[in-house]
Amino acid sequence: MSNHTGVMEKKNSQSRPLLPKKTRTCFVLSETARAYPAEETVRLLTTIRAYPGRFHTIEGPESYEIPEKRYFQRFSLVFRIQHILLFSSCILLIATGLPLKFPDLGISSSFFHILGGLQASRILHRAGAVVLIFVGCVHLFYLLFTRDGRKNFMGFLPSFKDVTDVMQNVFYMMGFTNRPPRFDRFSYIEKFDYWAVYWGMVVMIFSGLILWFANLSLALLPKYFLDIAHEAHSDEALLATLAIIIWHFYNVHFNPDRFPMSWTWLTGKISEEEMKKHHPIEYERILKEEHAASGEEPAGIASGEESRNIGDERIKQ
Amino acid sequence: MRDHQLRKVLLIWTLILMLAGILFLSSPRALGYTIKLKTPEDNHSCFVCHAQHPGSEAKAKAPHVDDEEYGLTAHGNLTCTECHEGVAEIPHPRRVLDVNCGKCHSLQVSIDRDPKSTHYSYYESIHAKARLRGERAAATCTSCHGTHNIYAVSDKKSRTQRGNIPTTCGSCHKKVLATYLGSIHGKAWKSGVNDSAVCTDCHGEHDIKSPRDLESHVSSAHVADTCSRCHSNDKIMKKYGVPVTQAETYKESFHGVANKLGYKVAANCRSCHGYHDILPSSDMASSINPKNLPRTCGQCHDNPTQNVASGKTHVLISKEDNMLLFVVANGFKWLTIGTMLSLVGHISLDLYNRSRRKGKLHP
Repeated sequence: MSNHTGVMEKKNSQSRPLLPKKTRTCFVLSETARAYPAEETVRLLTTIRAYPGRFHTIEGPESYEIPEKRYFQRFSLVFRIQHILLFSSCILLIATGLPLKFPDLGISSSFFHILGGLQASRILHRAGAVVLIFVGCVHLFYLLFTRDGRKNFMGFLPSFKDVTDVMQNVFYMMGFTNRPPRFDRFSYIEKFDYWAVYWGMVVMIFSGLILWFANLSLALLPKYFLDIAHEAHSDEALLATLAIIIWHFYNVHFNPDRFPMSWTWLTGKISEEEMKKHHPIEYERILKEEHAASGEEPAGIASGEESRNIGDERIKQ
Repeated sequence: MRDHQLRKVLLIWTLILMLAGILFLSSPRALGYTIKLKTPEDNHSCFVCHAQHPGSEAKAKAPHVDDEEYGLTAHGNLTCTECHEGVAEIPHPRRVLDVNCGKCHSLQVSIDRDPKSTHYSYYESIHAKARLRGERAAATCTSCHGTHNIYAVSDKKSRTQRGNIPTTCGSCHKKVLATYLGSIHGKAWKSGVNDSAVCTDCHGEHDIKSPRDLESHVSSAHVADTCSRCHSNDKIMKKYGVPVTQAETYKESFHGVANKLGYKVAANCRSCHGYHDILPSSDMASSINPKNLPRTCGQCHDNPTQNVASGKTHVLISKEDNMLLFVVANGFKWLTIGTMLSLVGHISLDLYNRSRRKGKLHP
């Protein structure tokens, strides 16, 4: 450990002023597990061939250093806790709810058999519902009353740029252009995920409450309203489950860039490379703000952005 | 001894023997001679005592059998002893063995189940269980099928013919018969509608079990399947203008799903419609008449209002049943299909792009 801290001190003296201290460290294979966030551990293990230099770094003290990485705080702790509560309750709700949609499958009845009957699963489903409703309320408060929440909400608002981003990304993926769209804090992919959950929560919570308190609902609402709530609850559940398994899991788990997963949900951090690649507009804005604060010119980056913009315009023409 | 003396003795002995032989043949009982009973023709010997022709020798104590009718029944060509085992000759002991129908009809009464057979086993039925407990009143084969008057089930005279079933069962279950006759099924049966449900259509035949037994045809677990045997049959229901989607819509409803997954408290057909007293919703006395629905639902749900009668109960996703439901269900269907196609399309494009730009992915 003494060797390790020595290297860190050496690095500190040369480091750029922008970098927060806790992200500055060095790559040593044997120290990785202790010194690095989980993301780096997994990346190191899964993409070893891409960084052959890491094996040679054990040779001598000088080669312990590789270009240091900067991390940005992408999601605050409150945001991450909301996500954890949301997906835990969703897993519980889907597990206890989906078999009700497919009661004819053998797996459904064996699931309820193992769980201890429908009564037990009913209690679990309602426990999940309580957590989901709680997260929903917390999120609304978070959006309204915290700066972080308002900032994220503004980022999530759909804009006309999303439409052009979709088109440009499709063209890019089909090979008609070599310029991928440049995203701000949230790409249209993430915005879709967010609003799908938002819409899903509204549908599921309201229809779910109608069905939970069926006796009260029947006293207030005509019976055909309950039929509609039942249908909506069941259909939206399937839609949400498919969207999570296909879309969300691809984007954060099975996508070759991310596999086995992006650790941002746990650490809240995103590396500079990823920032540049996936959120270039936000990245540049942050750098600009930082330079403005420190009174320096972000020369290289500004010129890079200009050239990119010129390139984009050329393609549009 | 002289010759003529010997001849005389022989003659006398011959006469004695002939006389004895005549006596022997003419009065078997007196001499302990027995009649072997082997072929259907031998049945005459039984009917000497058991038949009840006017002026016949029928003994007052012997159980009477109508020999003419017996000849016409399904078993008419069988020897009496085929069923009345242990009686091989006349005279027979005062107490004879009980008849064992299972000797031939093993399929219906065996303890081993034959899953291909519609009748499982009498021995598993509630009648047999009661009988094995020692209740002599509990039904056994003859209680339903009769004794010497068993006809083929296709015969109108058969006690187990559809047209006679309620009378047969009703000979013991008198109260149920009275209730049944007031129901739509009973009324239809009485007016000669052969399709109408009779006792055995719901309860089964040999395997009648308690409704609380989950294996019973009328248990919460199976009653929907039992009713749907007729009520999902388009051919039968068309004739009487009864909808055929009731069972299907029930199975898709929460009641049906919960019931299927073993939640016994969930409503099944009989919870709302009743069972022996089923009436159409148009009947004011029916438990599912809109006016009576709050009370019917109130058996399980707290304080139901008239709201439970607003809209169809067995609701299909169709424009006619519930327009809004139709719109919501189809909206979700196309939303799901559309979304999934675009998402999968996007993912495929992304993967295609990654493979195409391998190595030079990031400009």
